[in-house]
Amino acid sequence: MINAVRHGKEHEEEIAEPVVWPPKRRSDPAPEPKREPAREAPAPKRRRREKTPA
Amino acid sequence: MESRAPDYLAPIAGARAWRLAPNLMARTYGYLWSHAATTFWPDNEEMVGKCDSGHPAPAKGCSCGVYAWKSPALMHSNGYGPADHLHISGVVAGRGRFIRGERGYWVAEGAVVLAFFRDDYPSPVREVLSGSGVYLPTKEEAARIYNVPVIEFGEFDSFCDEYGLIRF
Repeated sequence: MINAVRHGKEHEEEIAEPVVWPPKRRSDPAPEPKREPAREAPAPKRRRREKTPA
Repeated sequence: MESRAPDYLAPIAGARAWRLAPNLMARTYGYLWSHAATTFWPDNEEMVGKCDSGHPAPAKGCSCGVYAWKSPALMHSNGYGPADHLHISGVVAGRGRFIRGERGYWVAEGAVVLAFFRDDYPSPVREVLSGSGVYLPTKEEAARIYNVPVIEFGEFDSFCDEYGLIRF
């Protein structure tokens, strides 16, 4: 058991805070970004009907 | 607890060995046990260090935490490499707070298994006790359960680089 060797000088505590956890192989394809649903094109503004003089 | 900026933004690389659990026990406690069979690694999950004293693991002056050697060479030179088919070794990635020991190991808050090493001790399919129906899982079975590759000892560095692990 490795616990038995826990003696002698020890280094100071360090912190590893992985951005990706659990680790992934670098060659693995990155997850596809979420696609936002396509927005509907805004309806064209209604043109006010101009009154024509009689 | 005081929070401080991380020293590394990637996991740390390690190598360690385990005792293989007999198949019936493995279903309850997991396939990988510490050498002294006092700690059981949960299959396919992060092993998180705990301390009976109640403080967060690891801590200076206490033996709690998740241990690994910095490399398979250090694991072997310190006499912790597998020396029979009852043991298996592999690559682990550590995270969280960790402390480096003088003899070439680190002890961390948590670790996951990323690969097993191919060694010179293939697992025979043999009952633990004759007629008991209890077998040791083979090393291939452990790799299947963990869904990790089996690599050569000499592939450690390139494997760690492929996963972006910090090597010491």
